[in-house]
Amino acid sequence: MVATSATSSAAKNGTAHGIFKPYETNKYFDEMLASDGSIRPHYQRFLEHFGELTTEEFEAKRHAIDMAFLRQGITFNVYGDAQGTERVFPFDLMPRIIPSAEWAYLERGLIQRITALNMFLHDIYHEQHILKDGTIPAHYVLSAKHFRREFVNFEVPKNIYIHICGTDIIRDAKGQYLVLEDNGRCPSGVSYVLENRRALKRTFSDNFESMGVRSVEHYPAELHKLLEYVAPAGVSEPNVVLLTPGAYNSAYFEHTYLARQMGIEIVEGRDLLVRDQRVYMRTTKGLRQVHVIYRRIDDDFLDPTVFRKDSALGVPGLVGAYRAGNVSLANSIGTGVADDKVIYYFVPKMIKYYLGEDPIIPNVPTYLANEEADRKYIVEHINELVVKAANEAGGYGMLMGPQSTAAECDEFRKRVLAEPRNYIAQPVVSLSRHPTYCDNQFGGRHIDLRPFILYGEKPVIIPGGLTRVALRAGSLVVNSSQGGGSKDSWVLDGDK
Amino acid sequence: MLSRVANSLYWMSRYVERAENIARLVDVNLQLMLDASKLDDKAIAGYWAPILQSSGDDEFFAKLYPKVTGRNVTEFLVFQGDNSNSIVSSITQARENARTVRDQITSELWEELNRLYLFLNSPKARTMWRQSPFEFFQEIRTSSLLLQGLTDATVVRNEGWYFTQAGRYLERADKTSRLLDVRHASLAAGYTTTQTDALGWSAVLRSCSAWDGYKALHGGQVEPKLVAEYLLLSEDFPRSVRFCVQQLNTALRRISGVAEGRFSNDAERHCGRLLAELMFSTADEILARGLHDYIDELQGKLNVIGEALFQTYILQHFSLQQEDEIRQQEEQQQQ
Amino acid sequence: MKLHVLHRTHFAYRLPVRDSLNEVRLQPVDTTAQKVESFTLKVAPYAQPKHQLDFYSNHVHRFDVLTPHTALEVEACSIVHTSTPPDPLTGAVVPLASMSRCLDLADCFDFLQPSTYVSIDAGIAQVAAGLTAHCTDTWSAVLALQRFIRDEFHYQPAVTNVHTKMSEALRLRHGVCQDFAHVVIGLCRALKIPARYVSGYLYNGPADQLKGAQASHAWLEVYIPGHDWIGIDPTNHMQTGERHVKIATGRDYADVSPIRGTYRGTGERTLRVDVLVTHLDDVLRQHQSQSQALAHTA
Repeated sequence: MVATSATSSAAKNGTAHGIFKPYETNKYFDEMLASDGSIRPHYQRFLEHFGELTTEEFEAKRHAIDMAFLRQGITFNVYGDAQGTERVFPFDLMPRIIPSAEWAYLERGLIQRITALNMFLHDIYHEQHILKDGTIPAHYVLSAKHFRREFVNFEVPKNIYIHICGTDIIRDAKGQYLVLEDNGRCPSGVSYVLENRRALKRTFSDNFESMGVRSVEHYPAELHKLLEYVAPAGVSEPNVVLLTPGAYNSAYFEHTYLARQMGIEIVEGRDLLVRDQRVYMRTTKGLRQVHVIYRRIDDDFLDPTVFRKDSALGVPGLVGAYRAGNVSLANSIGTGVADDKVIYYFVPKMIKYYLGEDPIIPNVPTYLANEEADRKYIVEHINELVVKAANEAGGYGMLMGPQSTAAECDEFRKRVLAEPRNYIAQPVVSLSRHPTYCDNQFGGRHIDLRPFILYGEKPVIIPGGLTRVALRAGSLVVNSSQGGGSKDSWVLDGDK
Repeated sequence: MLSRVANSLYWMSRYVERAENIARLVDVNLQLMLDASKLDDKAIAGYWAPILQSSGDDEFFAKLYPKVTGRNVTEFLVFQGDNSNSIVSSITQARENARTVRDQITSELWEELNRLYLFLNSPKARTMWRQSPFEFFQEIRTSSLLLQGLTDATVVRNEGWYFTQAGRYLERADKTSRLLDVRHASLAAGYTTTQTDALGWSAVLRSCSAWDGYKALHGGQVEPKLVAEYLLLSEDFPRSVRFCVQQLNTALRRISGVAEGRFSNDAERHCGRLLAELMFSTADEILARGLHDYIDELQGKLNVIGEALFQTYILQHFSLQQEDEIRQQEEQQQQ
Repeated sequence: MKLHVLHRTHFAYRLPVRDSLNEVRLQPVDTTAQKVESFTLKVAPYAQPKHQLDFYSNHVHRFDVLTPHTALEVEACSIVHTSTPPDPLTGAVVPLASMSRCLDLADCFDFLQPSTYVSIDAGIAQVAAGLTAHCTDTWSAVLALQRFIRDEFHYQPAVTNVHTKMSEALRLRHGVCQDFAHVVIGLCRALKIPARYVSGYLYNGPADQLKGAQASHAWLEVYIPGHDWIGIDPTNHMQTGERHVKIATGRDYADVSPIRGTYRGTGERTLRVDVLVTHLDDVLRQHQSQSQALAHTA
């Protein structure tokens, strides 16, 4: 057995580093522990410092962070919970570390993907080449829940549809990175990335600088730059605002956080009004025109005169102002097509079609229930598969075949057969694991990664992203609404 | 600044100030009762009834509680969620307002307000209130003062800050006048002796943190007229009605940019007029007219200023456009 | 035929309303069978409509009236040359059983799905199958559905309204052209025959024989592979011809509603619609004969 590095003898022997004690990796890919139990090279520098902590010191730091998050109100709201509507998103102190070369690979893959997705959206809202020549069957796009017929032939500012994208990435048992899904509407979570980093910097203030971690602090500035970039033509100092559904939205903390970091106003629908196809905000000094809206409201709720008539969150006439080119929206209207898990299946084809390249980061193998052969396979193997509704998120509308009862499988089989267009299935991917502190000891817990991609004048991705972790042992569901937590994600300057 | 944000900042600070004043009121009464001996039910009720009257919620209290006892009144004023003027309700509303404008306030301010909110809603708060009420009310006052200190020390002096100031001083002027009115009403009710009367008036001073200032000026002699003068007309005591109206006036003028001696809206006009009146009144005049009537009228004027402020800065640009519902145009059937 | 269409819509509000945002589909499309010579759109109070093509290539005009008003009038005038399409189906047989492959055609997909007004459930599929049990050919199935309307439905205004859904009209067996079009569309879709809703006008002069000319009219088009879209007018039990002026096509009424919009305001309101379709050749002939007569008398 050859150890991957020659630094610490403890690592070679698989012995404890202070409070950290290695555990069995079993059949999983562990981010820190190689299959022989040795520490992967890019974790060693961190572990040297971390290993110096005593259990008491570690507990004290953990407690301090939890208290700080609660005090600052870094919480998310849980729907359907009348009692404690706010909860702290559990934070695990041990960071996930990505070496420089791996990150460069991810960055290339993500930029390739967002570029293709934007070309795809332009195409389906204009000439529809990819549908006409049959590369993607037209009916899949026409039946997509979020395909907006109203916006066909509409020119979006700077021809950008998805400005901000959160793409979920996982690793399989071999450590291969795979794209799980794209979030091209209102991806959330970036505030945790920034706050988690602040928390870890405070915790390891003595030696954080020496660990060679790439900064994430420029995200708000980059986002602001992007929003100003898409302002209507001829506006030199655009008034940029963030449109929130309000204080009861689950991501409200993030909305205020980002608005404050960017130094822009956070507005609710009722703060805005439209006059003569221009959007204004109501201020104590009268009306002030708004040029760019970073909207954190779904299409359906934007404008009650166009979409959902019962929406009290939106701004009547907003879509008209957008059509007239007097205000820009980020993200654009109609990007939800790309979030459809059936359309996800076709992303590798899009990359080939628009860019003439092979996808750099592959998709998870996917079966489309709408295709006869796939459907047959899904129905017969449902207890081995993960079945997902095409337009649900947050871990809802999903069946984990192996962990489900026969009755649950039957129920999903029925749903799949009744509405094949709205279901896909994937083999269960054994998500990679990461040492995580639970129940007073470190154990391997499954994680994913959501990097945030800004697609403006040129694409920008802040190093890392949100690492979500399933805190329950053995669970593969990392969503905050389903008992998930988060970690800071470190991208190193080098590979060690 | 967004009208909605101005509105939230204004109410945030009003509610914090309200909570602090309730804490002062209850705390001082508790201290007062320590000095008294052998209290029967009626005497206890006599101590607490004016407190309830000053909050203006005495009828509502009677619906919820069978008896006026210290326990019931403090419970009502501190924890009762159905009482929209209780400390818990006030801090909850202050925090809700702060939450919707989190990007406008400093994290220090938010964290302290959030901490106070979490404390009040924790089991610890009730335990502390039961075991050591003084410590409990001290905690709230300290936190409120900390919030004010944090506001003063950390918040940028922009328009938002002046809305915060306006809310704080309008609320404080109102509450100081109510505290004063409580003792006046108890005098009229006639169940206090001369000795407890003096204690009552000094309690008013203490509940306004005015005891030291008053003593420095007038010595230990507590005279109703001097107390009223100090709490209504003092130029430099920061909780006197005149001082509060002065601060309110300044804040309103900073918001609009209009100089003293002129006005650009009704809020400024009413506030300027009230300030002039307070500057050129004497305690003798006020007592001659009747303290209670004077205070009643004063509260009316403060309400008018608050209403005008709302009309000028919030409603005009904000709610007025919302009055009509959106309706679908009637459509024609194809025949 | 050279037809002149005047379509005037008048909204009256008892109390002033404002922030009126409207979207109209009143301009007829150009097709092989129909050429639009001119189109004008007037709005009072004055507004400047903006033009765009929608997803189904219909002409859309959008305008807003923001200031308070108690009346809104929209007047559209078109001059359109129409012709009768050559009978497209001579000798053609397209098996009904083969129609399901239309699902793969981008232009047909939307018109095989349920839509706002048109549901397709087991009950409706059963009705459609029952009516066409003897049909193997697609076109004869369409004709059978059209006969069903003629034989079983009563044309009667004011029983249904603009919001009546297809399933309700099917149950009532009463209604107007909008309802009949929806019913046939739903039955067609249940049989996998692509069917789309057409909004338009009907010329019924010089003698008043046909139904649906006093307001805007509606019918449907079905897609028969190899023959493109064919218009049928179930209200008048006929294939569409030179008397029909087509404005717009969509999945159902919701896609092509002549005028829709929102405004702020409360209080009562009324709607009046006038549609007048004139045959300009007739008018010209009349005019000529009149002036001849005048010349004679002179």
